[in-house]
Amino acid sequence: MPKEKPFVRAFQEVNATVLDLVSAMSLLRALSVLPLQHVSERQLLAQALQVLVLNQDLERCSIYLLEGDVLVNAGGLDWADLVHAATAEPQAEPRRFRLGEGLVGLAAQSGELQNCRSTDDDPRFYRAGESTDEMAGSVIAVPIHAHGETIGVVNASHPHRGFFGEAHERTLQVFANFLGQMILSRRLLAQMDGLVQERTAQLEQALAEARALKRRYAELSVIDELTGLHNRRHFFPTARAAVERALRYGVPFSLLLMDVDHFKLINDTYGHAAGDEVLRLIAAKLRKESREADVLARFGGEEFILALPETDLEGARTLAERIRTGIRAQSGATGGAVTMSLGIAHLPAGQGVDENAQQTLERLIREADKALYYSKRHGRDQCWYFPDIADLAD
Amino acid sequence: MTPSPDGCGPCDADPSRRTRLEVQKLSELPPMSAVARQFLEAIEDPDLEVRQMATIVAQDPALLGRLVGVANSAYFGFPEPIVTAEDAIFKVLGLNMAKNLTLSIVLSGPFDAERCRAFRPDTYWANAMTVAILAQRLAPMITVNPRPSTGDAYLAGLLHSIGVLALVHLFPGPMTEVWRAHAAGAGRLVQLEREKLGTDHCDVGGWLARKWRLPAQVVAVIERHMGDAPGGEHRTLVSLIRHCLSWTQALEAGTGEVSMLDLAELGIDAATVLRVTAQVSQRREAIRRLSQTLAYG
Repeated sequence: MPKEKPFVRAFQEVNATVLDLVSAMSLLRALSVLPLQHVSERQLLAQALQVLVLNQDLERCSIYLLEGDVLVNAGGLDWADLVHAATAEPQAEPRRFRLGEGLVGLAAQSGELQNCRSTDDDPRFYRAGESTDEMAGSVIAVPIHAHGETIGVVNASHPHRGFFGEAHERTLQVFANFLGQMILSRRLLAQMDGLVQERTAQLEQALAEARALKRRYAELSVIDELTGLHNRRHFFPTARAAVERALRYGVPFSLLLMDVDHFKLINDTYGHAAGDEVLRLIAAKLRKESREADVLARFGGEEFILALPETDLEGARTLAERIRTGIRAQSGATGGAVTMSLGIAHLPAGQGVDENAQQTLERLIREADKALYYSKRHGRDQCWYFPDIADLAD
Repeated sequence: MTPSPDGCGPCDADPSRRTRLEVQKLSELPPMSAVARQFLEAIEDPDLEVRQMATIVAQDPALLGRLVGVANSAYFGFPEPIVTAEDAIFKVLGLNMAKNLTLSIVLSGPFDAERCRAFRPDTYWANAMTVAILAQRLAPMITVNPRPSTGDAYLAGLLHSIGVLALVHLFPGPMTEVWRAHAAGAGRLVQLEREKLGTDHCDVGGWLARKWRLPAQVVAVIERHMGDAPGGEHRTLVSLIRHCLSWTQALEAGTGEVSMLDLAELGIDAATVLRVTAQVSQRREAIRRLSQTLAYG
């Protein structure tokens, strides 16, 4: 062996130093590529510890983070864990050190690295009263700095006394400094992520509320968008009130149900825009023909309904006829005549029956519908009164 | 040294752990003496080429393992694992750094066969070299995935039993007894090692390979080339080396016919196997002679 060869020895030592430096640089390089986004602090620390053990021949290392004035274990890795790919059981109760207590506590308190070359006769080590499970030949505790503050400690141990030399001290201090910056950066990133998520959630909630409101108002709406007339939702309560009055005061009440003839054909021939235009023109005409107290509504697709309070049969017939001829005379966007079939139902004055207003209204609508159907069956562009057709076959 | 209070210190009673700590202290293994001499001659030549140097290094498990390991350090940041001496020197380390590294290992002195008399470095070397060459030739013929590269096959073949070298170097006394018992037919090598040292050369080789940062597939072969049939990662390479090893051991035992190597599970047909093993068998005598020269000078 080269005992008598000082140059050979020097050469070998230089080479060993080069290899140590390669290891140190490998450690930093591996640390530098660890992802900071979308990882928990625990995951980041676990990866940092793995990188440390892989590149530094350590037996065991752990990281403590400062919480208030107590250092709490935030991760640990054993060389054996790495070889056997065993994931260390998360400690039920993480180990803690007060500031100034033991090597870990001293490193955090002083902000300076603590190198214990032999745990057997180092008062710093004994003072901590370390439990037996981490007893080791030599221990080194390196403060983790970030933003000029100590935020934790990296603790490494090795069963050989005096294992940690100057090269280790330097490497571990650089490792701890980088790790401190990474912990801080990850916390800031996570905070930002959290804020963004919170804001996004708020916006999504506001959007959902706006949509719900829109839907609710649409439901509450009593106006038919296309024609500007009231819709069924408005018609029923209003018409029922009118029937109620008619029943109570013994006045007559009439009902007109109207349906555009061949509306599907109009739509198919001239397009939906033309169909819409026809509906709008009819709506305008109906509005013009109805009185203030009448209840006019678009009842269905091309169906309109008109409730006529205090109107006798004669009045209803006259109005129905006027509407029918008026519509036919109107030359719409279709260029051709549009016609409408009508059905009339009537509640004579003072006809008290044992029905309530709702039932009466529904009956009247059914009767008007039958009359309307009769009109359709018999050539369209007609108007029939229910009692007249009630006993006829179709 | 007094035992530490909790019994986990360096003098603890767990022999496996004590062995591991010794292995952890080990940064390199001595090379074979003739390889060392070849290298010392070659290094005098100012026109030494990468290929020449790679050829010399590739003959020696200790040198090849260390050089390839350093080349795989994260510091160099090479995207794929380096598995050949030529790549380690040419693509990563550069000729000068490779020369200096190799020289410092060579200068620590060649492997001292005298320290562990029962260990036969020539047999060890011939075995490693035969497995490496056979695996290297068979690798391209594998038709199942993942197919290992020829470089992977050679490196894994040469280093599969590097743990034996480490144990003999670190514990020549106990290993002498292990080899004697083995020669006397007292049991399987790994079993005898476990009895004596609390661990075996598969584990020890694995520790060393990890410490040297050898590629994961090589670590897998070193750790799993014996014992139960392998599954898991890199199983094609592990399986290839296991087959080559048992064929080599049968050849070495020299008991008549060598059983036909069955590589159907790797998708290599019998005719191909026969052709390749015949070629390697023919070279076997040359390998054996060379191994004696390399081991004993």
